[in-house]
Amino acid sequence: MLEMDGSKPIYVQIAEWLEKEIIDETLKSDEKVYSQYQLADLFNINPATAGKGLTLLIDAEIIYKRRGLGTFVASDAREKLLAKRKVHTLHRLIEELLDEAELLGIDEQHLLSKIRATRNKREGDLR
Amino acid sequence: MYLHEPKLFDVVKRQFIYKMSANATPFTMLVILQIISLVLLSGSMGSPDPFYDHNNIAYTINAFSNDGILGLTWFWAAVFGFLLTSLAQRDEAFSFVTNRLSHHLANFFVMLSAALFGGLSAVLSGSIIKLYAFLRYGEVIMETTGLLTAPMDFILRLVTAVLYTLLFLVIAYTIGTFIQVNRFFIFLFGALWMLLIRSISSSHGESFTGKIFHFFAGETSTSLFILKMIMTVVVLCTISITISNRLEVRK
Amino acid sequence: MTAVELMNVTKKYHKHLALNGLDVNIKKDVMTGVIGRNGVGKTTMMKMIAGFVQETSGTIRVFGESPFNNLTVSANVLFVDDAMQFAQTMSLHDILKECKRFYPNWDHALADRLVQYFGFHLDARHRYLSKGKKNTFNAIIGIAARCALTLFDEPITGMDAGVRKDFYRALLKDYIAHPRTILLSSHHFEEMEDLLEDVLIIQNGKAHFHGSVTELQEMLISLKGNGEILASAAAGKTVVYQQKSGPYTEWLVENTFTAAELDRLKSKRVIATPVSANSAYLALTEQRTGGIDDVFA
Repeated sequence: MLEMDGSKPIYVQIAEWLEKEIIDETLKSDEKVYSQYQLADLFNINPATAGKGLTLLIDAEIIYKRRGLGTFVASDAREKLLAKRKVHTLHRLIEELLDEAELLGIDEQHLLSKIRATRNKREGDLR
Repeated sequence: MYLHEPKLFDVVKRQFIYKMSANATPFTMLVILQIISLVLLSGSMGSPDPFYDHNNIAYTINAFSNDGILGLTWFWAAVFGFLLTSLAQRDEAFSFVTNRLSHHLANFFVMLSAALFGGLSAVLSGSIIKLYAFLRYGEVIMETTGLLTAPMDFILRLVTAVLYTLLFLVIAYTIGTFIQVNRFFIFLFGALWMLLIRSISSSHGESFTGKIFHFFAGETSTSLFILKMIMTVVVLCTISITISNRLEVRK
Repeated sequence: MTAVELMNVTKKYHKHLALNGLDVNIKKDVMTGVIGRNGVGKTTMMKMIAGFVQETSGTIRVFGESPFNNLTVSANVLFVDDAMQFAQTMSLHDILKECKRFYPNWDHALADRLVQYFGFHLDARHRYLSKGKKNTFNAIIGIAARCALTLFDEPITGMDAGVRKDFYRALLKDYIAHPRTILLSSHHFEEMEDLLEDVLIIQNGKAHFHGSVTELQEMLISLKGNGEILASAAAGKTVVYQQKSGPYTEWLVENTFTAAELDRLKSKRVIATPVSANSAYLALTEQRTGGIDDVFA
């Protein structure tokens, strides 16, 4: 559920929770998403805050609104989220790599050659 | 959410019912007071030593009166009227829907009910005394008339008792309201009271207090008397409403 | 749509200035938390909105009407606090019956269920309830009356942790089913921040902040790291709060950093994290004279 530690805004946590539901396919494409009132009841939060979480996903075109019917999961929602996560995770790992490299005093050339070497070694292992 | 526009009359009615159930105790108190004084009065109906006229006929005179009960009822009225202006009563009223006007109007209806109840029961207790005396002694000369012997007279007695009870209620209520508006009125009313007492004891004949007394009690015309009473009550009530209409509550 | 409007409202009690030019607009059907330190004028403001107390100057409008001595306002506004008085002779059952007569939206079945759930004896007297029980009962009235505007002044005082949680939950569920304007004052902002849409922070008789909980939360950012680096990082920005604990210094700074700026801070080993709404509130209302530590310095 939500971490509710208070440091991350709740509407962001709501959006992330819904993303997780879509990635693990609890919520499938074109399926109806919980209303802001259901989310409010579920997580014991103000409906307006829950609404903000939904808006975040609508703006990112992960879910879409159908007038009078509610919000639904976009057909490409899962792919979009997976792609976003890929970029996000890779970015974080690279950040960590660069931090470590800086600490050890390894320059960019050296780093790149190390990456290449590791890659070559892997390919060699596979062959 | 859709707004409700209440009518003053409805709010007064609701507050009146609420206040009547909230003030059940004073009413019960009056009944107990009246019963106690009835018992005391009948207990005092012992037979004094008879006296004889020149024909050697024995006379026993027992004088019974419900004046004591009336006096007690008026004392109760004054206390109750004062009690209605207490802070607790006001806070209780403002726990629910009301404004100052509806609060006062509901109180006036409570006082009217109290006056009807107190006045009627006091007069009727006189009838109980008569009944008791009649049953016990058989032959009684009634000074005052009953409903059957002189209905108009009896009804007038009822009306008078009710109006006086109402007057005592409203006077106490007005004094109480003044004191709620500003505590310093306690001293003013204290001083006024002293002046009244002194004017009664010192002056002979037409004192200020005497004039006030005669204004009501000296009135020989029934309709004028009723009119005077009602006017006084209305004036006093208007004063209460006016002076406390800006009073802050639940501070 | 505005439910409550306060324009430059002041309130003087003798010489003490309880409110000093308060300007507030409360949106209709929004649940707003009224927070602030003790004695900043929260209760005074709510009692003015309820029409109990009159403003010294300024203008107040509740549903478009001046609330003082106003019957329509009284019928649509319910003020709930621990000083609610009911006649001594009346049992809790009698009081609920009176509520039914006075409030057209009153949900008697709900009131009955809540009273039962919280373990009240219907023939008990209100006056003899413990402080926590009294507040729980009053809160039930506040929920079940479903007035267009309900003012809860410190409703949770004396309630134990379990009851507080249940009260918040009951209020939220009923609010979801019947949206209406609710003001909730409390010292325990951290307990109710999830429940609220808006926050009104009152300080020194004025509105210090009024906006959504999210806005309050995102107004500030916490930076942790070396003091000197922090100083250069936060140059030109308002620093609301500073605290040094061990080798680290924590600053709460106005959150106007761009993503690029944050990345640069990260490379300088400054840890930037969001703050909770409660920390933002505490930081914003920190007394200028310093904290409790300064008393012992």
